[in-house]
Amino acid sequence: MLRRWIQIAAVFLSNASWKFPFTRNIYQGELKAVCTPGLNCYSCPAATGACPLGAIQNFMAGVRPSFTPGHPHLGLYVIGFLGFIGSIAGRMPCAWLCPFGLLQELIHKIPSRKFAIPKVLTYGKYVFLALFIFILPLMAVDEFGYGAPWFCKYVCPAGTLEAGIPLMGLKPELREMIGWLFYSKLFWLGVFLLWMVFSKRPFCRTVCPLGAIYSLFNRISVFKMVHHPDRCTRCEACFRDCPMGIKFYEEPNQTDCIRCLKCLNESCKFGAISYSLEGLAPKRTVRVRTTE
Amino acid sequence: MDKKSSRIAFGTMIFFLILLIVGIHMNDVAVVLNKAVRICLDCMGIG
Repeated sequence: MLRRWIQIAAVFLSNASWKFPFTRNIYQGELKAVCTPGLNCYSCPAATGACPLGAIQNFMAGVRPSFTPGHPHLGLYVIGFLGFIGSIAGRMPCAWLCPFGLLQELIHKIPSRKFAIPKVLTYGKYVFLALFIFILPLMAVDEFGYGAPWFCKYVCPAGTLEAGIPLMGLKPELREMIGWLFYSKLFWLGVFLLWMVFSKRPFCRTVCPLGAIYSLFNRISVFKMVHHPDRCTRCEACFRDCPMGIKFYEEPNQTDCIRCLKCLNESCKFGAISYSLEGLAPKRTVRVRTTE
Repeated sequence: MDKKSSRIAFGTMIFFLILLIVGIHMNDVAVVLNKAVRICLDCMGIG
C-alpha cells in the first residue's frame, strides 16, 4: 500500500504543472532541466521534468554537430544521473517511481484470463536500448549530421498517451500534421494497453530501454535483495505474486527484478526474503507467519 | 556482504556521480532544458 501511494505521488510530482488548460502549452520552467527517474514524456502538458530516454536520444542525435563548435555534448549528465540511481537502487525506480509502470499495474487489475510472457521476449528491451536509443540516433543522420530520437518517434507509447493525444486536444493546428506515423504510434499504444490487461507489465519486460538501463545495475547496486535458502520452501508464492513473473528463489538479483518488495512484504510466509545495503549489515527481515 | 561487492557497488556509484558532475560542468543541463521546454513533435508521432 505504501508503494502505491509513492507511485501516485511520483505521478503527480512528475506531472505537477496544471496550468496547461489555460496556457494551452507545455510547462516551460527551469525544472524541466531535471530528469525524472521514471518514463514520463517531457511533452506531456503537465510534465515538470525531462524524460531521461528522450534526453539521451537527443544527445546522441546531436552529438556530431556538437563537436563542430568545439563544445561536445555527450549526454554525460543524463547517463551519470541514470547510472547513479541505478548503482544505488538497481531497477527499483520502475516499481516505485515510474508513471507508466503504475498504469500497467492498474490496467492489469482488469479481470481477464492472464498469460505469461515468454522469457525470450524479455531480451527485447536490450535490443531497443542499443538500437533505438544509441545506434540509430547516432548513425542514421541527415546531411547536416543530425539524427532523430528513434524510440520516441517510432515506438514510445508513453509519448503517444501523455503528449500526442492531449496536445492534439490543446493545439488544433497540430491535427493537420497527423500522418501514418501518428496512427502507427496509436496502434502500438493500443497493442500495449491491451497486452497490459492480459500480462504483467509487458512494456517494462519486453521493450522499455529505461528498465533495461537500470536492470544492468541489479547485480552490483548498493541495494540488494537477499534469499535465505535455509528458510525457503519453494512454495512459489513469491513467483505467483511477482509483477515481473520471476522466480526469486532461483536468483534474487536477476535483471528483471524491480524491487517492489511485494514478495518480502506480502508473499513469503517463511522469512526467506530480505534485503541489504552494501557496506552495512544485512537486514534480516524474518516474517514467519504461521498458517493454520 | 563481502568487501569486494561493497567496493564494486560504491565504486560504480562514485563513477556515475563523477559523470553526472562532468556532464553538468559541460553544460548538458542547458541542452536538456532547451529540448524539454519545446513540444517534441517526434514524441507525439508527427515529427
